[in-house]
Amino acid sequence: MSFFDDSIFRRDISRRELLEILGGAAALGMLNTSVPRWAFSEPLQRPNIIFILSDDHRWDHMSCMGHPFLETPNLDRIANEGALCENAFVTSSLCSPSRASFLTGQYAHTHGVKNNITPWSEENVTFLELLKQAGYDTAFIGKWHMPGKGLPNLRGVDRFVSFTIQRGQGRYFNCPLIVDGEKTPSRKEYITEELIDYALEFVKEKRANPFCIYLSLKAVHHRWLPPRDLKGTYSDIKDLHLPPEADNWIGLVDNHIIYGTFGVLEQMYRGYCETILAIDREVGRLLDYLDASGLADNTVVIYAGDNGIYWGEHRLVDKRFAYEEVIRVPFLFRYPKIIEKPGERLSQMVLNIDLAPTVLELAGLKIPGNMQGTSMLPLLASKDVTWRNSWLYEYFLDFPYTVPAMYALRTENYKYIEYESGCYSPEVYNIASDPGEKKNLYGTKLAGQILPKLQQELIRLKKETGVPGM
Amino acid sequence: MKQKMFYRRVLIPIGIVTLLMIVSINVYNISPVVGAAHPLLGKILSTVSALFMFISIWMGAFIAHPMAFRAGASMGERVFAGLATPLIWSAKMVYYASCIYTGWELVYWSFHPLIVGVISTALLNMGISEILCRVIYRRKGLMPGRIFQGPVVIMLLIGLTIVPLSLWNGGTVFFYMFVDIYMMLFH
Repeated sequence: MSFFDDSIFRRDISRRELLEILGGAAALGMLNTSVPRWAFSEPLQRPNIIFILSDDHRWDHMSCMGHPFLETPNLDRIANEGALCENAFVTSSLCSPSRASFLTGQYAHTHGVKNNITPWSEENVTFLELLKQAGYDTAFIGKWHMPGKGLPNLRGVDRFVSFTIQRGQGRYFNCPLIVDGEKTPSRKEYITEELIDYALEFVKEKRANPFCIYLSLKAVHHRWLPPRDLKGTYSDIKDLHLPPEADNWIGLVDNHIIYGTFGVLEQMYRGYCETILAIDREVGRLLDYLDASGLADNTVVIYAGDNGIYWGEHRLVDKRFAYEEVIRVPFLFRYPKIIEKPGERLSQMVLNIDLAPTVLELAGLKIPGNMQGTSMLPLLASKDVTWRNSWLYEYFLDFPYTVPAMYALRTENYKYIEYESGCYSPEVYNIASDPGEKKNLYGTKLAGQILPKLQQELIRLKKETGVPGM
Repeated sequence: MKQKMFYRRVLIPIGIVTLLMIVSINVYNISPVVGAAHPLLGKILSTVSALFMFISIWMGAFIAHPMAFRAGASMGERVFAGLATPLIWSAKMVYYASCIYTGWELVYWSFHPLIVGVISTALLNMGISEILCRVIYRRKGLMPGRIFQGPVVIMLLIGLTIVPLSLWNGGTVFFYMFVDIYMMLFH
């Protein structure tokens, strides 16, 4: 049952009903504590929705998450005026599968985009399509980057702005676009600015319907190029707080260079942080317009990343392996009508597959049964709900990368990783006591006690989510 | 030009460059352990060893080839010496890949842009080294004959074709070509 099915959210209420509710709540001493703010407002309009998805933005690279020098006042603003999910994850730490999961609310083994090679199926249903059917004006703006021949015939979008250059990765500077099927030269030099411009244009259109924008940024994917005016912002920072196991050449050794890490790690990292600054500035421009135009009150702004990135942790670069640096992502919400306690930090484990059901429920729509995520609305509304305490991570072979296929279980305190290659031993980590996942407990007495439970839970989740062969 | 014993012509040049590669890889791998206790020392070790790794693997032909040339090695022996470290390194990469890919996929994987890149770089380097050695030895009157012989031209042609291709647009063009062919063959 939907969170709002039995609530006054779904219908108009009379003055008498309202007085009864207020009276009852006051009598119970509940006013201003557990009755949501929206319960007293006039019938809730269907909200506008802006979902901003960045690329390879790590969860801890925002000032609101305690980064030592990176300043992200506008992302912080979303968190401070809304809610920040401190434990947000992706179910597959790779661009295409993760993006498809955001759109469909499904695991990669369900939507079929298992890696950067297996194509997007036109049969997949996105939340944009469902919103369109419900009367929303919809736009997909930015990076599509899912396998297949060019851009898909994406159902349910009124405006489709994307790019196919560099196999859909786009370019940071002067990126040619495809706007509703037409090749269109870039209007702005820098890609993040360009995409925000398109989003603002869509927001500013006169309309009778609510709108939803899926704003998919190219940044901060490699080659981590900031706009010219931000380049060098962090060149004077001496201590970049890179992990002790990292060194400047880590992107060049073994076959790491395949990930595009052709250069000195510290320089690339500075570029990464400066490119995030550009995202923050542009997100600020969008927020400013929403505030100034009066749209902010009825517009949900959501910011998330498609996966994280290693900067030398575990002697790795890129993503894919199931360690925290790449499976955790930023996930921020702003919607004054729902969020009871602005600035709240949610500790529950939320996933990329939760986005689609959340958005649908925000729009007052029924969540399709084939969506595997759960609406986060009760969490955002500070409802006392039972939430997941474990979830399934999966990674499928992605030729020619030499990262084995794997399944992993993440609980609140533990992680268990199973590889499909015999060359790799399973791994068990106590996340609570070893957040950096430095000590693999597999084969130890402690792991022996907990391992059977973790393995059982992993099997249960595989069955529950329909992993083939289970 | 006097031809020295086989071990002087082939084994010593290969041994020196291979030893340099093995030592530098191992020093590089322990540098984070050292760095945990002594950060500056760890940084120096990682930087120096990374430099020697690069020299031994990607530029090893500039060491092994002239040594073999000077010892009177045949063209085949010189090529073998110059390709030693790229081939050993590539074998290591293929071994790692064999944990993930098998059969024809693995065979195709061994044409990975990095492997093709390192071998074609070695050929280019050898072609340059061969020319330099021939020029020097001809000036000294130690070696008659043409400078640009068939094998030299072939090495230069392969190197000058594939190395720029593999660097084009930061390596992405060659990489995507490799993936596209994989898609045609296996999907």
